[in-house]
Amino acid sequence: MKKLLLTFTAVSAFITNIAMAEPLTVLWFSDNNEGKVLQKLADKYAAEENPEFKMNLLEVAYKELPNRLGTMITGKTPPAIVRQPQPLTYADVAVNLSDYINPEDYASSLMPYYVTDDKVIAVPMDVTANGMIYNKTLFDQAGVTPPLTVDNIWSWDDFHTNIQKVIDNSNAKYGLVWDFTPHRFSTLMYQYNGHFFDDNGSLSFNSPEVIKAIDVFKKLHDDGIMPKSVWVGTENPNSMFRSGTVAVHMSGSWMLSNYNEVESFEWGVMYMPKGDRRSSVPGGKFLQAIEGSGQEEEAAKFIAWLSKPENNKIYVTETENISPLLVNENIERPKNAENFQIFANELANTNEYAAKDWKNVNLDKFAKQFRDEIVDVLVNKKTPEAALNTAEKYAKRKIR
Amino acid sequence: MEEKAKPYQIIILCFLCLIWLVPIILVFLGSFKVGDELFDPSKILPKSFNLKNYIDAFQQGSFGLYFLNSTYVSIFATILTVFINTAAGYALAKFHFRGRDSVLMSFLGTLMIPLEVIMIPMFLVIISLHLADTHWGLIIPAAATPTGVFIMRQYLLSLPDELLEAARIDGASEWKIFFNIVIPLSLPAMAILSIFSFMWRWNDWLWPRIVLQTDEKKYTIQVGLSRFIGEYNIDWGGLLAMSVLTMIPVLIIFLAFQRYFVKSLMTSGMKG
Repeated sequence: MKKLLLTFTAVSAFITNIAMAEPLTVLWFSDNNEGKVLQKLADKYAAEENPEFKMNLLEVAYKELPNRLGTMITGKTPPAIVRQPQPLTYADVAVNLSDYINPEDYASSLMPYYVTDDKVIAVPMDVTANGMIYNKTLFDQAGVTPPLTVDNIWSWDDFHTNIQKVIDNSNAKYGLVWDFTPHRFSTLMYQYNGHFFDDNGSLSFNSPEVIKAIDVFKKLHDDGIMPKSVWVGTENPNSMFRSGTVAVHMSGSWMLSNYNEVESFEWGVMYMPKGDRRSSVPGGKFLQAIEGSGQEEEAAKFIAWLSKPENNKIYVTETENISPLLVNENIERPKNAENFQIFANELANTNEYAAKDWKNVNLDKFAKQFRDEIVDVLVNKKTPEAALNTAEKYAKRKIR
Repeated sequence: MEEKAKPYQIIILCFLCLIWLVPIILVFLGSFKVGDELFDPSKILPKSFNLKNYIDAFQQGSFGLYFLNSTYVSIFATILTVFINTAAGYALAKFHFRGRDSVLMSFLGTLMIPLEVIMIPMFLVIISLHLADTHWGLIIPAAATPTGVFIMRQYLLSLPDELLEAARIDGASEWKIFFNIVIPLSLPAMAILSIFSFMWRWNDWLWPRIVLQTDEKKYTIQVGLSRFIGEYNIDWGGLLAMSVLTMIPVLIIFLAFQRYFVKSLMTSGMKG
């Protein structure tokens, strides 16, 4: 027994005290292969720039990221770099990257997300656009041609009529599934000239324009075009679309790499219908260097290297994302070139309030409640007016 | 005289077994499906038993390392837990000292306190002992469990006092009595506690998620599974494949110790 205890102690001491080199910690979340591609770029950086460079890629689930980052910063062990959907939240602890990148190299619509008080607090890594992905096999079965050019863009009434034809004349069970997020719903809101905040930053979503958007959304549910199981239940729209029984998925450009795996039906990207105007919603991910890691300069250099056009091109083509760099606007892609052109056009015709709203850190405080109020409208628990009144009261309380 | 089960009893039991087994079977079969197979509800069986999801998960993530980490933490935590709880159970069952019953009640009282209530002060203690981001931060806090102490104490109450007295008369020290008499006679209860302890540590997610902050190479497999969940997409193939692998060690431990477990369940209602 004594020998066993001694062996146990020695083995544990050995394992827990193995000396480790100091790598650059990158807090990351992945959809599909993004972590793998970043690792490949890190190896390239080590080979080209700094043979001693090592990256500690700390991958977490997306929902865990805010908690993990907050805990690490509070515990005085911040990551050197974090992949951020919302850089402004951590503007106070972000390293100023003004000496490393030039914001004029990037799409101007992104600037409010990462430049504040003349400080560059993050660097755009990729851009996303909300949009519609359609099941080409079902459309062909029904003999319906989707809008694939800017001249053929449908209104929401046209969409309703044509999708009903697809449902009636093909194996489609439903016409449309819509991601259960306020970000995706807001696409419809911007198409009817609604917005969350006005130019002074005050709440402005309790408006006739947003009521109109909610009415369109509710009609799609009430008429059976959209299943209630997504917004009222827990059904996953991605899974439903991949089952091949749904004609259109209202999602975005990030889904292309996921749908590349689809073999049982053909699919593509179509132009979204328009309300009173066209609009998508831009999004994106940013790389942010955090102060206090002790590796601020190394982090800034790595971010600057990743931001070079040739390296960003590798990242966006292999992860099937849109590049934020103006010089990479028309890069050659091995797959989905036409689909990305449609997304780019959607972004170019987007309501300016889309970027202004979603860069506002206050939106996170009530966006989920706003979405839940729409669910109450879908189940006829509230009218759109009552729902927006409740959401507005909640928002005012949260951002006081 | 053994009574044979009637056919209708067997059918009912098989049906109940199926209800419990169906989700596990679906996870197992789903782990071999690639591409769209997983999203076609009409196809239960995979086209082939393709190991692509398993291979991809090991290649893309450090799942081999997470597996080793989980194995290391679970085994060492189980050894420590069984030793500490057996010693505590023995003391509470066989030693008579002032306040013994109050100590036992206070141990059992902690069963009412969930981890969520005490995890912040526990984490602060871990930080001050420099155990954050280490596997010892996972092993040590969970070593003494009130459930384990209770199981061992209840079992050791049945140990004859005369046996211990005889050993003392023969000049055996208390530690010799503990290692040479108490432990060998407690093997059935220790086996049950080992199963429970291994399962608790293997399936633990919340505490490892809190303690393992900055070093991905120290992740346990439950924490590592969250890598499959992105902002927009879930890699269902990888998630299912790794979930199947996480079930195997617990199954092996149960199969190794099941005779003790089943025996204790069967004799628990018998007197004498």
